[in-house]
Amino acid sequence: MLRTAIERPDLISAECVETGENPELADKYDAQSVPLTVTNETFRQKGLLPEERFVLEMVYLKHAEQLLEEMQKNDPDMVPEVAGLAMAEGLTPAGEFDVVVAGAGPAGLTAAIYAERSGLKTLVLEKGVVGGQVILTPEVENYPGFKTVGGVQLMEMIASQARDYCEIHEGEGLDEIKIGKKIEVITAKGRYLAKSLVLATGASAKLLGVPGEAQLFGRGVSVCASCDGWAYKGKQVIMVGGGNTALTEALHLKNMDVGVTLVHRRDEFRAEKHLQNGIKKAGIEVIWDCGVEEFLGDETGLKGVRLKNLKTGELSELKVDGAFLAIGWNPNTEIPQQVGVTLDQWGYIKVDRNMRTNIPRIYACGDVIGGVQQIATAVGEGSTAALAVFEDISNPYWTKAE
Amino acid sequence: MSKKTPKKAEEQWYLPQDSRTHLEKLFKEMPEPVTLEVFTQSGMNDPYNEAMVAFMRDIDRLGEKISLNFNDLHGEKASTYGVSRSPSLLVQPDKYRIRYTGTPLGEEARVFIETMMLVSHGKSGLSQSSRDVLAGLKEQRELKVFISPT
Repeated sequence: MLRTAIERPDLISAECVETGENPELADKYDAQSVPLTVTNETFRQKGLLPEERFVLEMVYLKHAEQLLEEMQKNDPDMVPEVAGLAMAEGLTPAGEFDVVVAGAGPAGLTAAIYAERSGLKTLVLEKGVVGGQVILTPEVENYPGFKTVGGVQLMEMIASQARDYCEIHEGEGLDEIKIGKKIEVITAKGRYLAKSLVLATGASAKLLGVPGEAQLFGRGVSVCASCDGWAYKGKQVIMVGGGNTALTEALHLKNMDVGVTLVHRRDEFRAEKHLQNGIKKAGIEVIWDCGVEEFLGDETGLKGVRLKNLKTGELSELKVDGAFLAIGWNPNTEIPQQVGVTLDQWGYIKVDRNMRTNIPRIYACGDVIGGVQQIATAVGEGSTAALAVFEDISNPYWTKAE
Repeated sequence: MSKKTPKKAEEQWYLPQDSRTHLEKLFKEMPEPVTLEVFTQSGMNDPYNEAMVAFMRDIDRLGEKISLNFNDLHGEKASTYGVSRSPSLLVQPDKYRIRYTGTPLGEEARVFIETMMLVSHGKSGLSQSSRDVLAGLKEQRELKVFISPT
């Protein structure tokens, strides 16, 4: 947006308003949901738009839908450049690439770096923000090269490196995949044609599915200790889970002066020994063999949890202010399933050693393919996928005459 | 009233080491000088003023071709450019009307750096079709973009 002010300094002025520092100004323009662009006080454009569409709308002070309507009515006053709008409206693709990577976590970004370096024109599409699950982790201590590094910090470094090579579109997730001569990827903001697609869509946090969870989610029940832990300083919470994430987050909460108790359905942790020792050393209490039966609370939020001992069947209640779940992930495979990508028995995308799925020209890497789901493996899988893409584009295995 | 940045070597840095190294390298490639005008008024948004000043001081020290002026809201420049909020930042105001109302942080900081580089090159970095459309613009467009700090 600021670039338009560089292009036409004679006519365009651009002001970037940080709403955090200027709340009254944000209120004045009703800017609750950002980004929002207001031109000449009255023309409003919501969200992140593709560049050409933003420019067209801003110049004509009309939204895409209206411009398209007028164009279709063959308005003689309409300038030919509006044909560019057809692009924004999805009548013709917004861009052609050699590779589209879905997901900007460590797997996707690594795939993008490798692909672009191989000479393949690459685009990364990310539904949310760059970084994937890693940005929810306060400290990463097992990524080689870093004794300890913040999740956000690590992903900023990887993202910055990826940006040296290719474009990353945030806030633009996959809506649909179509397979034809090229692979067509459709998002809310555009359509792209690609020779190949790398799925690095990761996984979403699992929930327990017990009573009270949905009602109290966001009001005491959370899946992200690094996001929400700060609200429980000096208070009591439980951390449900027995893996690395649960223990790392429990230690992190303890450090933040949050009273934390681990609740695990088995009698031993699955997490790294190092983390288990950390829990003992920190004196964090563990309730073994128990699962959460119900989240209890009222309109003011979570008040407690009902636990069930899975060995004895005994029920008990614990007063808590917060409950964090770290019980695993569900792979994000909804969209690829539409086109018949094969999943394994646990719901992860099935791939060969080179990250190829059952569908030629479609590859997958990172948490979405299962495995040990580490940053270190995501990075390895991302590079492997990109190298397979390069190999297959040069020598398509699916067209070889047998 | 505007004062030049005091360049003290022993002042603390606001940005982390790796960012500074990256930016120093990047700024070496600036072809043309870029002027930044920072406007602050004590008593208005003080913690944000501090962040803006600290960030801009770092930027100034990292780029030889970057010059920085500090102003308050009562002086001539504030009135010439119509600045009434603290902190505010103008980029190359003698040539462009590009303004930050509030400190560019997080993702916006990256965009700000990019913008400075584009301004230094005198190029917008827009696609040819965007530029063609903009070439046809005949009236003023005053853009306000609202973003939230990442």
